[in-house]
Amino acid sequence: MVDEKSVSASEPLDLIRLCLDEQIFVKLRGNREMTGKLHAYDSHCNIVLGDATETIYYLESGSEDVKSRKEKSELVFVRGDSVMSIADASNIGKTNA
Amino acid sequence: MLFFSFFKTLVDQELKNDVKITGTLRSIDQYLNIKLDNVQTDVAKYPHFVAVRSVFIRGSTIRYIHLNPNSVDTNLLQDASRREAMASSGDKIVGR
Amino acid sequence: MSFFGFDPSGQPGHRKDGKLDLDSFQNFDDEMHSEEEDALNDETFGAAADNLSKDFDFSSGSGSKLSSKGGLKPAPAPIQPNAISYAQAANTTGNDSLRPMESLWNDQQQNSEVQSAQSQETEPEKKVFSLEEIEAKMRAQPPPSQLPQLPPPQQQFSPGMNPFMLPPQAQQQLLASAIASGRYPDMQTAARAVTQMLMAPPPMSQQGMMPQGMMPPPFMGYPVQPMGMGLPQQGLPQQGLPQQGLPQQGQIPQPIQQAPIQPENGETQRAQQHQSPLQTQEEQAAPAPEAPSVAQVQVSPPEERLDLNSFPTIEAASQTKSADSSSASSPRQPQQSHQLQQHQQGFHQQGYRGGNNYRGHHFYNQQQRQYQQRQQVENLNPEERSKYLARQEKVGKITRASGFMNPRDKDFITRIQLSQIVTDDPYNEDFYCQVYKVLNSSVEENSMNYLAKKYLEQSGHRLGGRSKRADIALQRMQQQVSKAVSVAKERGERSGVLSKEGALGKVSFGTGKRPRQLLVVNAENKENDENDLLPKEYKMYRSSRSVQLSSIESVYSEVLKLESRERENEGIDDSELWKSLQVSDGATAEDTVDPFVALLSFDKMMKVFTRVFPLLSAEHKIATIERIFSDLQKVDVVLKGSYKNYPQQNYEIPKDVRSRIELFQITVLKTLVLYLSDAPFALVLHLLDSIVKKNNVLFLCTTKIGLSLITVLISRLELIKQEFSKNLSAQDLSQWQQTYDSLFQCLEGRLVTVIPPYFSKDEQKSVKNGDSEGDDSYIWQFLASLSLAGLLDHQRIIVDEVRDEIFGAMAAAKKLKTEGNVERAEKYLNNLNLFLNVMGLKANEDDITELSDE
Repeated sequence: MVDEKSVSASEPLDLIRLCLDEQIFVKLRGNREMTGKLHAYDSHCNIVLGDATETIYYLESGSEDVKSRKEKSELVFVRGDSVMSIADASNIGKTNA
Repeated sequence: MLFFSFFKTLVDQELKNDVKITGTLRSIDQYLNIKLDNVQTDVAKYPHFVAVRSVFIRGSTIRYIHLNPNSVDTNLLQDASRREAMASSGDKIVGR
Repeated sequence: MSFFGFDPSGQPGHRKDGKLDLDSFQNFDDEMHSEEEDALNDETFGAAADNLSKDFDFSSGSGSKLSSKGGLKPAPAPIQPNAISYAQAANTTGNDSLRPMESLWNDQQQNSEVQSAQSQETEPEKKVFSLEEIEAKMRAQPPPSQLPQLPPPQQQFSPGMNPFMLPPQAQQQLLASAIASGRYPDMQTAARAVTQMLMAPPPMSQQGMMPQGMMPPPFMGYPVQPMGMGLPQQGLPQQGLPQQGLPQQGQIPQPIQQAPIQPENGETQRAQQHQSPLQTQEEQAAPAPEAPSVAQVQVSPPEERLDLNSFPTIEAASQTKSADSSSASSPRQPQQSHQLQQHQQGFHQQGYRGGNNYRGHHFYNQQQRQYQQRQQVENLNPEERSKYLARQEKVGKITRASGFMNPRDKDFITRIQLSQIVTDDPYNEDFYCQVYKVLNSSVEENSMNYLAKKYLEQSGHRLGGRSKRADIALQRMQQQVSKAVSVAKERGERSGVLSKEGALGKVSFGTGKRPRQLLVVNAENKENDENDLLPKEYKMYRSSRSVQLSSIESVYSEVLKLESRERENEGIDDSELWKSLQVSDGATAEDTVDPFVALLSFDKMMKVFTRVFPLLSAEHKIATIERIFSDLQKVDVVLKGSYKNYPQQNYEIPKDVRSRIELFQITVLKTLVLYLSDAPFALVLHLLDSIVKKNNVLFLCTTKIGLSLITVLISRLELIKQEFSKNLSAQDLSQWQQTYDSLFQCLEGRLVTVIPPYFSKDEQKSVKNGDSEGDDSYIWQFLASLSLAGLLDHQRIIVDEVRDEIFGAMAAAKKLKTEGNVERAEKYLNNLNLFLNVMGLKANEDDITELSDE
């Protein structure tokens, strides 16, 4: 039906390429998540996100509840070593509202 | 080398990494080690940085670098990413 | 012994035939001098390089370096006779493709090389001890901390400039040439350097030095060795040196005989043979009172001394692994001299297999060094001394960690590093920077930033492109590295480790740009019917988001390729691009929207459209525009851009849609308008026709994009009609009339719907929302162009239908003026007059008048 070679035969990093200029959702080490528009990436998963919102989850001492706080950045470079996963934000339904 | 190329254009940008060091990017290498001048930190939190004016930061210790959007051409950056992706998947652009 | 990074060609035999090293020497020399960063540096290493200085001492670093360099066993550093320069070793040892790029990794490495070579030459004694011996000595000896209390060995150096038993002319000559070589800041330094040189152990050091090319030309070969023979006279710590134990008297003539040619080992050794062990011992013992620590080392039991002297046999006998024991058991002198000879050759040939406990003699070394330093320092005046100490400190710092890797190791690391950096495609790698520079070149040319940027642009080289040398070196490096990389790849291919399908593990070479892939899945094997095997929800439909994204990325790929070809002035073939656009594919049963039009709902597709369009051939351009126009109402920004979609939100168009409408305007619409402004009548008419026939015109007219496009088409047609009517056939004109009529029919009676409630000035209709303050001129432009193209009847109908809006606008303007907001009032009137002027009317806030010819 569809010539989908470009999608299915690609390497993992090519899937990130599809998200260029799109909202993505990034899971990061240290209980962090970030959404933003992907402007650049490389083979180390270094990325640059525009209008990014970072969510940091943490436990306050003596409490069981996971709390979170958000931090915004107009443009941020995220070093690849802290990136755990990258997803198209529209697929997750967690857009940068 | 995309990000090396990218950061080279960002001399004199304010940066913040995870320990929240703000400074002027003075130089960068291919490992994304960076050198900052005019360093400012939250002195209350990191008193040992009080006297630091200029600092070299090993690239691997950096989590984020916050950039000034006005000095970044995001469309160009996306193109550069694509070119790099193409080059590494063998679909290299030969000319400029 | 190239395995250890040593070139066996550095042996005596080879050396005889002369200047085999001259070239590399020259290079090195040049490079050394290009390093003018530090005056001390130059002084230090210049001098150090130029002579076989004995007073320089290089601590642990050099010791360990030597040992590691030696390969399997920690080799006794000091005698390193085959101390070929690392650079040379790298050059000559079977790895021609990869020189260690001395100039790039310059001074640190270079210096350490220098020093290692130096240290190899300066401390030959160390070599002579076995672990046990040294331990014994340590025990018998005061700790090194006592050294400072040593009586100053003044008299040894007090002759100062002339401490040698040389013919005065020879000394003078030497000194003169040393000074002439320009390496010494002053007479004294030169003299000292000469002294050091003279003191150095001859044959080995020469071997060490020459290849390294560290000696200034004047000293090449000739005077060095002969002088070395005169050493003992200085009463310097030559104790450990068998060669230095020679009776000078016998030696002095020799230098002259040997003069212009590089001294040959054989001769030296022959000379050494004359030397009796006793003599050696005496001489060694002689300086003892002045230098207790060293002396104590020397004044050790005879066996030990003999052992010392004969130690080289170890090297000679290094074919047999039991070197230590054999040497210990060969205390006799004839044997020793013979062994000595052997030893030297053995050294070269075997690259230092000889084992010794390097830590032991390292310790000994330190003592020795300290003593030597002390001696030196005592002889200097305070100024010199401080200088000297500074230098020593510097040297010590630099060499502390030097020498942990042999040249092979360094090559290896270098290759890895460079293969990560180097590229045969520098432009691509640096694309962002290069283009950014061009785009922003006019900005801040004079600021410091600019300077800093310029600096960074000059590669990462330390010299920052300050000198041409850096460029040349970079070029050389690139050549060498690309060679090295390709060689490595070939090797990989040959050995088949490059890529194995379906294999885990070592599959391919990784680089920084392309990390090693651990699993290679054969994409080609994908069967066509695989898709049918997938559960339905995993099937990829063309309308699925990821397929669309992937289509867009392939459009980008094609665009990037074509743009590149364009810049290179190569011919452009848009067929691939055309295919990727899917314009001609048409909608299938699965699709609700034409695939190309669907792509236009993505921001990045809109962005790339402005780049795609100019690359297309003429007929592809037309086909593309036709596709857009005939499906205009399905274009995302049109579909979602009608105020009628949002009655619940007060007709306010959502923010994200609005921003995408704006994006569409400045990308796609702008491109189309630009194209249409040159398009021929028939084409424009055809396009308008397809809009009217294939779309719901009324709906289109409730959107900004639709209205703008229709406006453009109508005004273009009218313009051509009025200016070039002669060129138009009657058929064209009548068709235009038909199209206009059908367009008008669609709108007649509902013309007010083109005006969104939030722009309406009609009291009954008007709604206030966030868009109300926006620019409504596009609506009046549309009405103006519609009137322009219409007959008087049409105009009358139009005016009639929007009468309320006209008067509403006038009233609003009047109200604004009374409120003092003249600017905004004028804007209302201007927009209104855009439309009224077409019909020869003019409005102000109070009245509508005939347009007068003022």
